[in-house]
Amino acid sequence: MKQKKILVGILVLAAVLASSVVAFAQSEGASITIGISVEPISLDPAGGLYIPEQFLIQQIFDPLIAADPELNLHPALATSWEVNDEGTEFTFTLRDDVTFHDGTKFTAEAVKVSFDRAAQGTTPAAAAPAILSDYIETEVVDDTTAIVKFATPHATFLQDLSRPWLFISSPAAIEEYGEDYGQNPIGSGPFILTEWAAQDHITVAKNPDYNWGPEFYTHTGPAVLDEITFRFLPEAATRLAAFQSGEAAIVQDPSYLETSQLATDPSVQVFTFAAPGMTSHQMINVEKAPTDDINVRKALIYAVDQETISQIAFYGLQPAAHNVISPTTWAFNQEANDLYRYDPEKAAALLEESGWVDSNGDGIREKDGVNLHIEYPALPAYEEAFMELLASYLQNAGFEVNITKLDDAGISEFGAANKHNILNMGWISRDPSVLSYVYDSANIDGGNQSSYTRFRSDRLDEILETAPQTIDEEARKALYEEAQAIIMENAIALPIHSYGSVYLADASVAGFRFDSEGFPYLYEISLAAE
Amino acid sequence: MWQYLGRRLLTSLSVLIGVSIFTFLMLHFVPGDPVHALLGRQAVSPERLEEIRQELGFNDPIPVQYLNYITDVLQGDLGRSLKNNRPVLDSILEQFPSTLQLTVAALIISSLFGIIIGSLNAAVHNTWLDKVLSVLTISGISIPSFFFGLLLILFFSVRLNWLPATAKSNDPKGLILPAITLAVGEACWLARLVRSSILEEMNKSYQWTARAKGASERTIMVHHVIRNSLIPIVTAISLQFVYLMAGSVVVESIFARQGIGRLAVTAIQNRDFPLVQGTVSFIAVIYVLINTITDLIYAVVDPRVRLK
Repeated sequence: MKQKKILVGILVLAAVLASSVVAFAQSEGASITIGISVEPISLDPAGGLYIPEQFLIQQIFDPLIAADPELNLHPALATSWEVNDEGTEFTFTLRDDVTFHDGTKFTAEAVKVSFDRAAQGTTPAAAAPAILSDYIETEVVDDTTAIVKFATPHATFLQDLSRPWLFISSPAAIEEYGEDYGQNPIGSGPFILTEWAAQDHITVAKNPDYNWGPEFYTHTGPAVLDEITFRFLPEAATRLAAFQSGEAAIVQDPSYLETSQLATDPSVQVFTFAAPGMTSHQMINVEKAPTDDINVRKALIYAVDQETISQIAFYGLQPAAHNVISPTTWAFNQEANDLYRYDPEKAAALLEESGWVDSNGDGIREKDGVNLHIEYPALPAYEEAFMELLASYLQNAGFEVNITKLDDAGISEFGAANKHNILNMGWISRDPSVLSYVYDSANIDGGNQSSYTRFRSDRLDEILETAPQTIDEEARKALYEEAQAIIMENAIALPIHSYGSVYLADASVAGFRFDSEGFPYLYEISLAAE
Repeated sequence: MWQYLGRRLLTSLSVLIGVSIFTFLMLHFVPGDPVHALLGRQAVSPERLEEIRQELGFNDPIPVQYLNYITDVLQGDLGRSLKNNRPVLDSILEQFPSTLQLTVAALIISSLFGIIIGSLNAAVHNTWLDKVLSVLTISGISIPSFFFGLLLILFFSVRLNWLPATAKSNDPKGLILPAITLAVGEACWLARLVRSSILEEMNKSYQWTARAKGASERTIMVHHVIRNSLIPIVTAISLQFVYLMAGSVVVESIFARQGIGRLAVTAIQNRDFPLVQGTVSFIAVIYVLINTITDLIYAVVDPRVRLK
């Protein structure tokens, strides 16, 4: 009997708990839900690194200078700017009609506080400190004038200002929230953070006072939408279901197969964007056999058909790449891009020239009794879609390929121990200057230890070190074109694909337009009457 | 009784200490540097890496790290997340109600369906319907929840548009599909248990005595067979609570629900040590708590248990 009472007790308790769920009233109006794949970690511009942070920070904060989709710079919080001849001092004249979401006024002091924090970074993973290397200080001349000073020339600083890591925070809010500022971000952007339910959603509401958008926006004044809810939907299948059932009007990164099928549906809008920066490519190790031989390295590149990989692995939504830099990047070098195309016969000839032949008929080439072996540590998070396909192209050319699946930390260790022949790299960025992080030989054993090609060239190092400080745009462009040529001619990069952003939007979404890094301008989006 | 209670609590405590040590060691013996995992693919100098390691205390010997951790925990401080710097306890307390709702809803569904289907199945023993129900319940146990959940989404959200696939956590409609997904395996398992438990009781000889005394078949079934077969079933249901909580890890991910299971998975992927340690320990506490309560109830109900 007692057991029965317990059972009844459990059931009653359960019923009470279940009915305590708060009823949720769906608000009508100009609000939309966007399904995003990863929840941001922190919305502090000085603490963020990854794409989910970037998308949200752009809605809540404003830059000093904004870049339009073609990367032309326009006044935002700064109305004008001057650079000294050395490229070390940047003087900004600021708007005086801007207020932050907490009601405090935007002044030069906010620029100083924001940059001082960004130079330090507020999380270990923050992207800002690398951008602000050699930052000395921001001098507040008066409320509307600030001078940012560096110890070395910063040719890309004006462009960098338009990236979210250098957006401007409210000093009062930083003071108020302290360590929790990343969860309570206060900027002056078109949207105000109203709710962040961890692992569930972020809601932002229109900033009714917003009247200081850059001139290239399609309208002025506040945003069109009243409210945007960002739902965190990590599973691609769930994101797609949320889109198909109408729970989300826009979804980010849907699975490629479904996207290719939906593309023919007139009620679905598919938006794709090829990101600038480094392509997703395999860095080829020149210090480990057999890839220490340039013929073997060239054969690796000739053996792979990127167009087919792009079609099979990504349904064409991540475009094939043939250069270390993607075609949408400033200073892209077309000649370096045209050096290699899929040619299995050329690959075979190069391998035979170096003495690699399949003498025992097992499909693997060998020389002096040693197999033509490639160690390939792979990160499934990035490479799952194509790694087996890539390996099979290499096997067809007579390579023996060993794939070791690892996580980020495992890959870094594997690479640092010099055990790899090829290792995937990629970096979305507006500027080719990111090449320095992984192609400057100072980063082989020292620096960030991410130069996994272990390739040493005095000329390449010189370019990568001087270009970021070269103020003359034409000269800088020539330097980066040369860098791409050196990398491709020495066959130390096996390009696979460019990164593409893919968004699905339902028919009601109007005014969808990508910024220069492949995020939609949510400020411009409106809902068409259905 | 008090002696039993003391003994039982002591065992629970040692289980919790064991879990915390085991989790701690597992985290530290997984290959790969946690600082690298923390930074992702970001380019950072070895000096900076060393600095971060020092800040986070990863350079201390592991026993020292563990003792530091336990000292903080005993003072109610579970630390802060390495990723977003939020207090671990805040994250757990914020996410737990959602998991509790899901688990309790699934427990109700699985208990109701398990007992009803199981009794029905026993009642039609050795008929074609018995075979049909057996096949269905065994299929229900075998179907993976990630697959079943997607089927439900495709049918009820995408095709029929009746129920949301990814409702916000405060929308009660959003509880229905996840709860069914979570419950189906346990419901079917319970149905099998109820069936065999009832059949076993039906074959016991006390029924013949009852019949000889003139009791109707209905009286025998309701007053004797079902009542007696409930004993193992109640035990099973209390255990199910814990299984369901473990199962919520997968279901929360499919339906993008808030919850402690998803919190733990994300923390493991990020190698967010304090958060992993905190969530695993929290789930262990719940597990031990429920087991202890169940045992104590037994002890009250059945004096033989105390004497063992």
